[in-house]
Amino acid sequence: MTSETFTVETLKARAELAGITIDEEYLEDLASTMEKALAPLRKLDPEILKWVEPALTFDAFKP
Amino acid sequence: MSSTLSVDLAYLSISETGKLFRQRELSPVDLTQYHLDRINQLNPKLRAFITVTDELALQQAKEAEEAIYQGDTRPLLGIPFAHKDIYMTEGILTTAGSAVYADYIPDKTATTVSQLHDQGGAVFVGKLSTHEFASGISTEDHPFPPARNPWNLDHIPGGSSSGSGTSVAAGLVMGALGTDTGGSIRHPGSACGIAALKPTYGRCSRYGVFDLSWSLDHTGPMARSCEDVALMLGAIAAYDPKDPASANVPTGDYTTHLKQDIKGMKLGVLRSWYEPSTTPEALSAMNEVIKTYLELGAEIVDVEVPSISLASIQGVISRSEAYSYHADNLKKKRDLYPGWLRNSILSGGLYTAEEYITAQRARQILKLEVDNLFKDVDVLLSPTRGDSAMTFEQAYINYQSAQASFTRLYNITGHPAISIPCGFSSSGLPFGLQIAGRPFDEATVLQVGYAYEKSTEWHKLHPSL
Repeated sequence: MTSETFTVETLKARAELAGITIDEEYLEDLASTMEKALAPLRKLDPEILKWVEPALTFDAFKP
Repeated sequence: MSSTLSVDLAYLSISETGKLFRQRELSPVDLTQYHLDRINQLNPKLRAFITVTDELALQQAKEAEEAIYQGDTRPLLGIPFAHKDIYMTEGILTTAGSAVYADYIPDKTATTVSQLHDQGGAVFVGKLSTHEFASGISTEDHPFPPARNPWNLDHIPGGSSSGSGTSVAAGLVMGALGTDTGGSIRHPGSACGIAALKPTYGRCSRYGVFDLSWSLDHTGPMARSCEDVALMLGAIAAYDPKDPASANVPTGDYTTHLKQDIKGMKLGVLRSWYEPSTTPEALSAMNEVIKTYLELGAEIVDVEVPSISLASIQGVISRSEAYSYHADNLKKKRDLYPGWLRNSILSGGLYTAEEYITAQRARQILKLEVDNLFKDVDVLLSPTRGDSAMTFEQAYINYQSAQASFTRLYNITGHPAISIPCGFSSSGLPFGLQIAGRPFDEATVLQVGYAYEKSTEWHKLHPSL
């Protein structure tokens, strides 16, 4: 994961690469929302994280 | 049979209604006609219904009446329900609350709708308002304008299962199905003062329901009490091979343990999570909840989810998956999506594969931490939201983050969680209590909710309309 903060400039750059058009009036709100969503992930230790299986299973259990 | 009752038919419980049917004191036809008349009278101001299926409802009510004469005792027989308009219904308009599907008539029916009506014998009275594609909030100029909160029409009913919350709270139906990707069953449950359950991921089929985010989407029941929710869950909790996420686990009668004493149970309270972002009034209601449970003999334990800040990843997963689902339509029918929704879904295409997978890994961490808490407690308690329902004016400024919500955690982890009413604000709007449980242990969640309902009167209060 990149350690950089997700900004309006990040959003614009990614949108251009992806060929996705985001309307100007939503850029700031969306960049802020995406930064809030991603920020906690940047604090995780990648060495630990890479051993975590990304698929969830749900088991009925009683401890 | 004809109705000679003086009871308020609008707010009968499902179990009371079944008894009246079997005692021949109430007819399913009369009850259905009563609800159709009430919908006709109140829907212009509540806007809960997109489609009312009068003829079908009366036909099913007649069939239910004949079945009752034959001694049929199915608990949902003849009970009027309606469903969020993202549940597909064969031959009946299914809009997803969107101009994209404004004329869409599906050729299939969602499994859960079939379970309630074809197998359970319930009466289908129509399709309910939803936030467009179960996301965001609709504005007044939308082709399907938003449902209103029956407690105060200037306030939102919560969403995205907005019409489900409004119709159940206003006595237009006895129960409804909603869907929940980040809180969309429990938010309207809290905002409208009803019981609304997001079951365990995989417990109830998603087949035939429009996707928002398939790894977070849940279907579930909304009604006016835990007992009524238990009756609905009993009909829809089943393995469905048509849903790849459906869990092949035992199901049963969710009313069996409902009324058992909760004395000695350990209830975990996520106080350090919710206190900082909950209003003083909502906090006061929550403190009263804890007192009530102590009086009932439960043990209260303060607990924490260490990595709770990771709950924000719900946005990474839901938007990425929503973009995948809508990408084609966004190219072909771009202008049929309102600006906010279109841009919000498009932003899901801007997360990298690494970010999406990292979010799914973080999700595993959260799930293990919540599972770990359940080694020591039977359920987890928190408010459903940090305040009562906001006004439409407030919602239009920033619906997504204008108010604290405590629901997303359980979409991420898959644990079952219910919202039940636990008090009212000084302005007369309901507060919701959220009770979460172990995977596939909806029975304990409902039992703890039922015990609270038996000790309080909140669920018996109804809006003046």
